[in-house]
Amino acid sequence: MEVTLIINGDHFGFSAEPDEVLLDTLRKLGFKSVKRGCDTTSCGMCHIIVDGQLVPSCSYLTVRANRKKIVTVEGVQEKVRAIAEFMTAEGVEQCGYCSPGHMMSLIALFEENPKPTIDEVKHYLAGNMCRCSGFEGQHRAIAAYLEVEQS
Amino acid sequence: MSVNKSIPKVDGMGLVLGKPAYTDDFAPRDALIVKVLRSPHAHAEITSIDTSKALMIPEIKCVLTHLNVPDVIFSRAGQGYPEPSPYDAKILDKTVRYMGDAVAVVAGTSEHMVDLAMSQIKVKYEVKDAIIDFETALDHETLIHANENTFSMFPIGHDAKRNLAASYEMMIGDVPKTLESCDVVHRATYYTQAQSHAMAEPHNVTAYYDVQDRLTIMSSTQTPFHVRRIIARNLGVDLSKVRVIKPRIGGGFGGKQAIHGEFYVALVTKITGKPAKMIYTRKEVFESTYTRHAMRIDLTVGAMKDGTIKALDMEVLSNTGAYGEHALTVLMVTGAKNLPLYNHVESVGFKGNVVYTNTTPAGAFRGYGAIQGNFALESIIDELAAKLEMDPVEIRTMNMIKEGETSEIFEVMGEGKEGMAMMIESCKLDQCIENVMKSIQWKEKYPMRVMPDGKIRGVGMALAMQGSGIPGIDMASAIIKLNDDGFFSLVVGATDIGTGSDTILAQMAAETLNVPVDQIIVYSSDTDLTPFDTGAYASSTTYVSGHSVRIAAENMVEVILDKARRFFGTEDVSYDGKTVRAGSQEMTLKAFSTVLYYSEQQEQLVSSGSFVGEKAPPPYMAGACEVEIDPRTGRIEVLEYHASVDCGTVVNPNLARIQVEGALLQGIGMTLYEEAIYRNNGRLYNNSFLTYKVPTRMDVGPMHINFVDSFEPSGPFGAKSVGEIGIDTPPAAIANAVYNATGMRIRKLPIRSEDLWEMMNKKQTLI
Amino acid sequence: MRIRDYVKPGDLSHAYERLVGTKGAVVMGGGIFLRLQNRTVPLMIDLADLGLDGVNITGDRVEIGAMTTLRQIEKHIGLPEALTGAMKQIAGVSVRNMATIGGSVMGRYPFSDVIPVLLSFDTTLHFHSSGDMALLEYLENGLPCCDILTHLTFNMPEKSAYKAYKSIYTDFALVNVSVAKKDGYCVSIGARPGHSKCVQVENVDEVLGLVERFEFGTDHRASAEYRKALAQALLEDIWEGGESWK
Repeated sequence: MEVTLIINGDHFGFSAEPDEVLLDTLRKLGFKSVKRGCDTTSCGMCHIIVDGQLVPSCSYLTVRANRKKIVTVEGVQEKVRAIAEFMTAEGVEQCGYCSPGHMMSLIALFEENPKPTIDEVKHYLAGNMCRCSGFEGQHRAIAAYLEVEQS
Repeated sequence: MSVNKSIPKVDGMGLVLGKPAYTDDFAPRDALIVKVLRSPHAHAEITSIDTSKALMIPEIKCVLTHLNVPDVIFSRAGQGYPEPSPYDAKILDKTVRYMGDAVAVVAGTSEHMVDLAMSQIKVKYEVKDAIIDFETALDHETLIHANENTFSMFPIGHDAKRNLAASYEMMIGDVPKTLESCDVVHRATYYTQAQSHAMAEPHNVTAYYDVQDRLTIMSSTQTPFHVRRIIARNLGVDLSKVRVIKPRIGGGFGGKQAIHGEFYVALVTKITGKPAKMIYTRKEVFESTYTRHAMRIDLTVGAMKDGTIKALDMEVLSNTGAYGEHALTVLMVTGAKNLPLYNHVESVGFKGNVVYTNTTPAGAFRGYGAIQGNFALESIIDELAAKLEMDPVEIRTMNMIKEGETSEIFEVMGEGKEGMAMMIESCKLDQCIENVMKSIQWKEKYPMRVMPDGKIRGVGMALAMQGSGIPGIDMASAIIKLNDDGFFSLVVGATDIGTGSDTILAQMAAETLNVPVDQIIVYSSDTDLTPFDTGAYASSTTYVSGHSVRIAAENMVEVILDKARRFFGTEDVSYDGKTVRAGSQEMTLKAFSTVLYYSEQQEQLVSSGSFVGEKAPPPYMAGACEVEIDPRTGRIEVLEYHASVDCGTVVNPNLARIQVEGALLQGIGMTLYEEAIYRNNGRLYNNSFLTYKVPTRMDVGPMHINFVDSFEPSGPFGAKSVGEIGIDTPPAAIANAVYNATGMRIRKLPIRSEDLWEMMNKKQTLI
Repeated sequence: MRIRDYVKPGDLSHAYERLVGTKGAVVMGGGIFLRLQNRTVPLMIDLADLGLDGVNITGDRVEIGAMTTLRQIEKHIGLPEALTGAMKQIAGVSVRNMATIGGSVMGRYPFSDVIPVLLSFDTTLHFHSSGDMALLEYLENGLPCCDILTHLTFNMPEKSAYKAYKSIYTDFALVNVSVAKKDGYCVSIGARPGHSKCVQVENVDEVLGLVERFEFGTDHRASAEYRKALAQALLEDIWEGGESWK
């Protein structure tokens, strides 16, 4: 089926199988920030933003996304870098595999709620798995970022 | 100064920015898709396998079964060679030994067609009785490996005719005699479960022939040099024709220490000549890689009325599942990384059997053996204290190992063979205990308090020790080259699996070379380009690889000075990281190196260093937690966890802290939530993240980590390891806290809220 | 799941025609569990463009479109507390952004966090072809033929609350409880582990004893006895500060 996606502002037209999912499409197109973690929408590693909504790309049909606007980490490098400065200052990205999905959640959260409390952050990110860090360092980093952003 | 500084990971920003970095990010676009048809039976013989229909599909380029792959037997364990693990695995076998065992491999140009082809393969099985309960496995009438010519490279107590993957026994002193002389003898049985690694990135691998027609394997592995050795030998290819590259890895925790999809993908590429790749589904990661060894531990402690511990005796039954990777070494560590904690004993005994069952194989997992044994040992110390009506902290302080002491166990028990005698030169356990007691407010909180809402809070503590590599076996090396413009390349075999080892090794090189860390460019884990390293396991990287980097850097300083002597024609030379001085002349390193490569007395400056440890100095830790229990439901919440760690010099405090925090949460997960659960027919119930739940950020309370001042004389810059130690204490510390809160002693992991609820209701002990 | 063909119709009757006209056709709500099913579907009918999402509150009557996402419900300030509260621990935000209330109901998942709440509200389902059906009846009997759920309605309870027992924050509930006060008190308990059931009483004093009137089952996650104790604890927690329930 013919599909057009607007990915990070650029138009991509191609043919897709009806059961292809955005995770595979995006990786094929070179957006390698989108990671495969679980196939069951449980880990948050494939998070992207489709028409303003944070979604797991592993279960989002590519044909359903026809003519929609998609944002991946590749499209918001500067925003991500600003947060990542605090993550890397804590050393909390560790293996880094969950980081892009984690960043997409934060970007979606800040769109929705520019001044979240740390409890709101935790609740919003509850679906973002991380097996390396124990989460505490992530929260220290996000708290530090918010403090700087909000002052 | 670069060591003991919280420098960001050299690759950190790039990873967060989503740059291509992991195996599948680099897979060739035209790589054949490789999938594995897996056994629906826990134990069966393949009587016939018909792949003709699958092969008729034009998109299918290769189908492998036990009939057309090399018939070789080996161990998939990525560990020192010869391995102390039984040779009991084949690339594909006629017998399948667990649900999820490999039956056939299909490679094709389209994923859909590969799926279709897999459904077209007709397999006939003769189903056999399966052993799921590991306590029945030894000398069971069903034998899991009896038809194969399994063997071990040296004696490891392997006996396939008894379903015994490995076994071991030792005694120092005379345990029965000592026990007779004790005022109190306490025995208890503990159970620990199979835990899944649940690392973020599945086990991915890709292979292709490069322009020199060499088989290149890129893999999310912790052991690229072991992968090269095992793959090349068993595919009948010269090692010189195989290159293994480890790019960035999305976590390992031991789960990527052994061989996984490498054989399948490499073989597909070897046969078809085409690039190939395999992405493990999460279901495959759960069902068809490895878990932690489930264990039954019978532990006996003998003590005097005053609390002096005189004897310890540990007997282990370990479940290695269908194959015996790391069977012996995990068993050994269960004793060797725990029993020396209380080294003043008169006698100490340890023995164990590791049995085969028809479940997912068990393999390496962070803190292997140590965490299981620690649960038993650090629980029984509290039980003994209760029996003697003593303070559990006091009984620990009285009996624990101290600086300047040793334990005979170090000499007797190694990784599969004898160990090496070791004097403990750094052990700040007393300080660790003092720190956690202060930070958790132990004196105010011990043992318990009832809250106004009826919930009960209790505190618990556990001590732990680990190792730093395997002495005499774990080997690492590093090469440093000076580049024009004065910066250095550090080339190491060490395998960064997300821990930040590239960064801390760069810090060590920078420290010795006296340059900023950004002047050290690290390249690691590529068997063609980097020198040898056994890999990222056994808490070896900081200590063993770290030493190799230190030596290489010291040698580089010598190489620079030597060149300066010859270049300037004087013996009076010095180097301070920025400037090379010779007599009254001086030249910046930048200018010096540029001249060396472009204009005068041209010469490439290179140094190397390699290291193998003569000892494995243990890091130590005290962990304490406060739990809150709802007596109506048995729900246990870990309100806070306090840890004080002695890992010698902390090379990178931030990264070390995250290592401890992450390990603690994995340990808390194992204690309260995680378990690979098999149905009676051998099917793994929880084979996805929907059903195998690891703790989320909402399930974790604050963690307070502290590193004590410590310096390990044998360590690089005074450092010991920190990667595994953090996982060891939660099971016992939480179990002890639950006991202090409720009076209920739980000896089985995970500590399920239902079990506690039942015990509190029926006021009885579960086991 | 293999999908042979996919359509995203712009009007409901067209969607319905394709559904009844194609053997084995499936409608897609959020599509969250797409990857969990190992089967081939000849036609996937995406309901996303039918305008079936949105919440409409008129007086006491609440109407929720079948394609309203769980996240939209969670963030809606006019909806009863039990319903918005039940959303908070369903997987993560991204899942709730996709999963729809219609999909959650139609799946009849015994572990559902949504169904016990709707059951305690005495919810009515509205189908395109078969018309109205009580949620309870649908849970017990299912649909006689394939149809498309367009929206669901209930009367606003005076007060409501929901609690679930989850070992891990985002896990499926071991048991969950929803209480709604309308004329009397409706208490429904789900994940028993069987389907949600609802019991109604007139008198507030009877509520805490209600657990006795439910049957609980045993599976590998929990015993019947334990589920009952959990349900009782959840009900007690809901009842804390009980004055306002009277």
